[in-house]
Amino acid sequence: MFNFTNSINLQQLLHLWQKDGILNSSELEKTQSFIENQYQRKDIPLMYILIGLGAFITAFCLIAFLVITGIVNRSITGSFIWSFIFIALACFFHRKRNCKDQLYYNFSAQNTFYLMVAGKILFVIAFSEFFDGATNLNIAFAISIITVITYYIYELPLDRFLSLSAILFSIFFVIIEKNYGLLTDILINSFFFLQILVAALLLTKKKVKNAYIPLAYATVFSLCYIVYYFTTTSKIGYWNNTNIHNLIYIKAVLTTSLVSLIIFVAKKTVTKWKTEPIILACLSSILLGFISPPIVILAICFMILGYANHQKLLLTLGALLIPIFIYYYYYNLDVDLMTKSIILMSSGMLFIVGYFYMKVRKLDKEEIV
Amino acid sequence: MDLKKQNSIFVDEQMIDELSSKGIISKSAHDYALALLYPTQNLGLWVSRLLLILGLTLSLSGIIYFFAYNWTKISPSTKLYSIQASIFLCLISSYFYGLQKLSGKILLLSASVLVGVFLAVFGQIYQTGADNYNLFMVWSLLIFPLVILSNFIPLWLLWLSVSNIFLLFYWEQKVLPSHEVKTVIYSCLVIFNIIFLSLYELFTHRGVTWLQNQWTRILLILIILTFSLITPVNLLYRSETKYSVIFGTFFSIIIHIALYKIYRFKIPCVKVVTATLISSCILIEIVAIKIILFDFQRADAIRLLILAYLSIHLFRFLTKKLNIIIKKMSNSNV
Repeated sequence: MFNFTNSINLQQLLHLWQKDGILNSSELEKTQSFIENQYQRKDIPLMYILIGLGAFITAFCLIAFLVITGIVNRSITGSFIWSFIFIALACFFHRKRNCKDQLYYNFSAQNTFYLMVAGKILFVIAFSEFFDGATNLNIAFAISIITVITYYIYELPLDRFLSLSAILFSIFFVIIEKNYGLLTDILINSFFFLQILVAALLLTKKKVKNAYIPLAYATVFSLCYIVYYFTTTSKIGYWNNTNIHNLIYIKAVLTTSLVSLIIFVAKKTVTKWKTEPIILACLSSILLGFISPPIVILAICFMILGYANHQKLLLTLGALLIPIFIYYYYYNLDVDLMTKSIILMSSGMLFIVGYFYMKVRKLDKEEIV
Repeated sequence: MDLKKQNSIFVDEQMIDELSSKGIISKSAHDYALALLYPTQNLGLWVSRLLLILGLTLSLSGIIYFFAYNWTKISPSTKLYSIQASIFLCLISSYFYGLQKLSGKILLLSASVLVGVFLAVFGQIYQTGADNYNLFMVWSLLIFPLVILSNFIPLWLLWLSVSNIFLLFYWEQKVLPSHEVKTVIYSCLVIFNIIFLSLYELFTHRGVTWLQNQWTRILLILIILTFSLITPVNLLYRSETKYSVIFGTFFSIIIHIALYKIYRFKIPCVKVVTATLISSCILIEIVAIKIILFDFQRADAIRLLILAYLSIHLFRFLTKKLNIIIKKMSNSNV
């Protein structure tokens, strides 16, 4: 269902470029030699699994050796010192890695990653102990400080993604830790809205600096968790429970995001976007905002964004959110299964009506390129 | 670059963007290539399929929730008759659509799943006290004729899953193995799945069209490798090693060597070779941990250092080897 690209090999593309006069012969030669070099250096993705596995075992053994021998001791000062040593070593080896040997390059990157993880964990533990215990606030501060320090020095995308995700999740846990009534609601909704803005900016822009791509994906995962949290602890069924949050704001933000995305994709892919199908799609999205759980709207946003930007990760994430949500929806939320059944079936019916509308209007016809 | 190599390199958006950002191709060439890769006419079809899948998923989930809510209120006869009616309806619809069409095959698959649901509900209503293996055995036998008729890989995989689960439960509940030989079942499951893998390769070689896709082979290989790793993992959890675990580990090593040889030289497949090598790494590491460390709780620090040193060299060696193998196999267009 998600394979909507044409499969074109290099020979076909070069032939078409030349046939339609898009590129001249010297440009074609440059293109060929560039791709030849890139293709030879291209990593096979499955190799990363092998390299990651080896790096994990190696790093685990090394760190366990240091802990068991007591070289890494447990005092606050000792933990701080060792955290800085690990982080400094990770940064040093990361900078000194041999770029010519691609395999050793990847292996070194993975090993330094585990050094960096160990260093950051030790720093967070030491920081929390220094400031009277592992509270959510202390953890959030510690992770933020160490991430800011190392973000532009240690440039591994995975490390950046995990650190930023940790910051976003820890801030969220700080906000929901204690219930201050309306203030908590305002904070959660503002935090959610800010993340929507950041994700929208980073995921819809054509050219984003490599340094900010991990932030985009960290925001995506954080949004998934927040919406899941709202879906399972909303005011439906808990009318008298003041600890639980209202869904209205979050649904309004998600619905607006969905409508904006539809218009964005329509402008990108078709010449005339103010047409009946697009307008109906926007109106249906608003109706969906009223009847559907927020996680369904978020999943659709991801799928549309993934399709528009040809990002399989977002597309897959959106597709996976639905069954995960259906599974947890069964057990969470203190309303009876009949109410849940009605919510699911009405959302489903809306989509099926949309499908038949497209079939009747012949908007689903595929043209072969 | 020769034509053979050009034919084997498939273009993607990342490649086009990189060519454009380095100034090798113009913006018009960039837009032209992207329009070829992602034709806008596919948007309508994608949206309609998304709407259908989402609509069906949410509606069916709602129906399941409805039945779950009313389950205790529905009489046993209604439960059984409704499932039987659904099976019958799926079979009739499948016949009507024909097994040449995808919709016919999916209906047959649905009927096969509903057979399992029927047996589960039957067992719940009439508390026969039968063991779980009975349910899976009967399910497997009842749907086998449908599986043979279907020529549909997902249905074959369903049947294989049900059969594997039957064998596992049969071993635990009927054979009641002693502690000594508890892990022998996993070696048997490896053999069982290898039989089907061999049949798959045989019929693929003979040109059976509905089998011509790689992911079936990869899925079967992953199942075989997973089962073959379960017994060696027991090396780490038992303080005294049973002979059955040692036998299972040797058997696992033989399976890995055999799979490597076959899919490297006889039926070349890069993905299977990669999966086999990754699995071999895990296996070697398990054996190394067992030999070097003996006991996790009282791990000697020097042994950890030795293990770290061995791991670095093992993975580096295997990664290099895999890189060479993949390059050789890619050049042969595998």
